[in-house]
Amino acid sequence: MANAWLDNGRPAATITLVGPKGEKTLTAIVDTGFDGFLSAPSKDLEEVGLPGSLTVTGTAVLADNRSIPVRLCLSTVRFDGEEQVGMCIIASPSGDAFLGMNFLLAFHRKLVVDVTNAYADLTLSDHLERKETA
Amino acid sequence: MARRSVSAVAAAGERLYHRLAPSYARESGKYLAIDVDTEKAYLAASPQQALSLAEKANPRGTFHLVKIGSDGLYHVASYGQRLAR
Repeated sequence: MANAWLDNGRPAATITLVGPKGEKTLTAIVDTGFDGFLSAPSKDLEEVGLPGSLTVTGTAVLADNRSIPVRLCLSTVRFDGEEQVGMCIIASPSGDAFLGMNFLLAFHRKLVVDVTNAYADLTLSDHLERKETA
Repeated sequence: MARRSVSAVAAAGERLYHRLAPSYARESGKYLAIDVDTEKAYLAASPQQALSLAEKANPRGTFHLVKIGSDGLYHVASYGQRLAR
């Protein structure tokens, strides 16, 4: 059974954020233009006790080449029965969560999209060599 | 220490990175966690590893992450506006 689907034409999947104060299940859009692990609304992160007391920042480069400062936190995500840790961009409180290309790398998945048949899937990669995730 | 804004921390981190960058010219593609208080930098193959090293050295630190040789830690090509806070 496919573990992703098309949400208004965008590939989406269900993930669970795992934090010190609990867990929260989210629908996240797979964004192949994002090279990070996860971007999630601050409201959802706060519900599971993230980001904690540490202040971590970085710079995100937008499509128009503008650079903006972002706050980050370490996040644990469960997907398809597996947990991985990666950096999460703390986004505005409301809106969608997004999975980036490093999410696919961390979970060794490939994105399969067939818009014609309204089908999407995150299947295991054919090449399972372990690599560090960014 | 008073809590600083994300913009202020990132700006301080970028200033420090530009100062440190020549020392890390051969480490393109790796990550630095820069402690903006102590001005020390921690090099690793992934941002979470770099952050882990930095946090171990200064558990109450304030850190800025950079990808060496890149114009940003991450590229957010298609949905950038959502990051506005």
